[in-house]
Amino acid sequence: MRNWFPVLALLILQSSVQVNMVFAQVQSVPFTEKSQVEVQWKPEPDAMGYQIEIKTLKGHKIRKANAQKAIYVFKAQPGRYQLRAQAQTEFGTLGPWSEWINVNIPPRKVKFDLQQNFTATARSETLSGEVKVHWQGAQAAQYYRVIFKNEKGEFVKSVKAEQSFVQTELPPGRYTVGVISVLEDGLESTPAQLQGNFIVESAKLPMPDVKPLKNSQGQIEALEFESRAGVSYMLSLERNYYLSSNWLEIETKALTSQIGVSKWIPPVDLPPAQYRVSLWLDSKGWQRSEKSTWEFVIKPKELDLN
Amino acid sequence: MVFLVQAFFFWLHLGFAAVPNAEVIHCDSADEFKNSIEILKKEDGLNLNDRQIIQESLLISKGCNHASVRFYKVFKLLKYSGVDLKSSFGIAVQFTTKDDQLTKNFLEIFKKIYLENYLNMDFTTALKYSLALSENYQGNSDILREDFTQLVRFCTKDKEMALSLRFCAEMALELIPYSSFYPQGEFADFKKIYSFLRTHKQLGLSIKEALKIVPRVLSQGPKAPDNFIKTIELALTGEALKLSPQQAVNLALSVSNQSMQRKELK
Repeated sequence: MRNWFPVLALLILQSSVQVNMVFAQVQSVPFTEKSQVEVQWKPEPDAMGYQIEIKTLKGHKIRKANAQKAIYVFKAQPGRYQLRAQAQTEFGTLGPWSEWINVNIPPRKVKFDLQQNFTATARSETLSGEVKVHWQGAQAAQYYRVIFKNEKGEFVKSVKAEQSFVQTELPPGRYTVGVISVLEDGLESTPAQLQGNFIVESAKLPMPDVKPLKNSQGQIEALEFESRAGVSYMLSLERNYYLSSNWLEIETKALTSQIGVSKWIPPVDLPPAQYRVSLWLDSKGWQRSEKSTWEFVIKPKELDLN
Repeated sequence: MVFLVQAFFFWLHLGFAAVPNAEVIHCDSADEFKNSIEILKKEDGLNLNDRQIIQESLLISKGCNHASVRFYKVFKLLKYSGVDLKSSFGIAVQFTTKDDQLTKNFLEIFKKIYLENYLNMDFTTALKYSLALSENYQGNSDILREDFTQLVRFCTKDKEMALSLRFCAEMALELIPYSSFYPQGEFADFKKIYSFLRTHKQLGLSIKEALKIVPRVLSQGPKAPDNFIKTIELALTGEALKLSPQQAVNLALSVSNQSMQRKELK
């Protein structure tokens, strides 16, 4: 009977020193890529110490260590880890391993401390702003996700960047940009936000390419122009009666046309007077182009005074 | 008191009788006034109220016989040409005090200059010239209009002078006051002198030089062109005078200047 007592005692002890993990806290370590991980668990009264085992999520054991108290602090590169612990009695016997707990060490946030973190150049040819964003890369990052939001905080665009800069196109507007470092296994850093908004200025649209078609008398019979996607041709027609300095607006409208070459022909019922027709380009978010203006005269065919 | 009143009326009578005899025109002012009222009432665009219509009609009828017709025709011409209504009104009112012939000149010349199927000049130029040509011209208006258009056409024509429309209009405007001297119009004589100066073997003047001389000759009446040409021929042909071309032109101008003289009746 006395021979069995240590065995039973061990079994009781084993069952009583089960380690229950409480939490793991990860803090980045300044000036390094590593982070400090602090793991705590509920102290066991009978435990004289603890053994800890750390492995990567893929199963590679990277560390075995001892701890005097129910806390263990270690430093590691960003990545996904698992950690477990077991209690050790004063007799050197070991309790059962705790469950594995996951410890994720995210990659470092990128830094925006370059002299010029972004540039935005509006290009009227493509009706977009060419945006370039630069940052200081995080070593462990496999790639970056760059997220553009509008001034209302609504998602606009996400761009994947292999290097620590991105070049993309955005319509004119006011944006915020955040960059997330991503590890190979998809673990993401918290977004690094570029301070403040950046603006993609709207550029002035180029003057419309309009060809006036004239009759043998040199009078404009039609205006020929080429429509393009995303841009409206706006037209205003004004009349000036001779010996009056007031130009009176007859109509201002968007010309509806198919993509390609279109024509505007003056209305046939215009009374004799001097006319001015202006065309300009308009597109949402862009400064409208300068006007291209032509004048023409409608003369009476005959002047019957009877 | 009664004496004073009688004396006042007697003085008035004397005063009226003292006005020097001027040409007296007897006007159908009531008809002119009525016509004016009717014309203006139809013109909503002028925005005249009844009182203003009466005032403006009085102004029109003041131009005596046919004043309302002259007003209406000029107003209509300008209005249908695209002139601002108030400006049309202002110009048309000026014609109420001119005579029918001058008004006809203005109307016809404006049409000739402005309309596309004639000279097709711009409005400002057309108005300027037609007002100028209708001002104080006493000749035959048909000949005047014909002279003006023929001069401009000849001047702008590629095969002839090929000059700009504006330049030609200015030139025609300079020449047109002499049109009344020429019973058949001055264009034929213009062409004659111009061609002579340009094609004469010894003269061979440039367009610019020729155009300096032509108005001086034409201004001296219908006999001046022949007098000018005869003198040139005399000066440059044969051994009689032995003058240089320049001297011949100067002499011919002097002789042609004698073509039109006012002789006092004795």
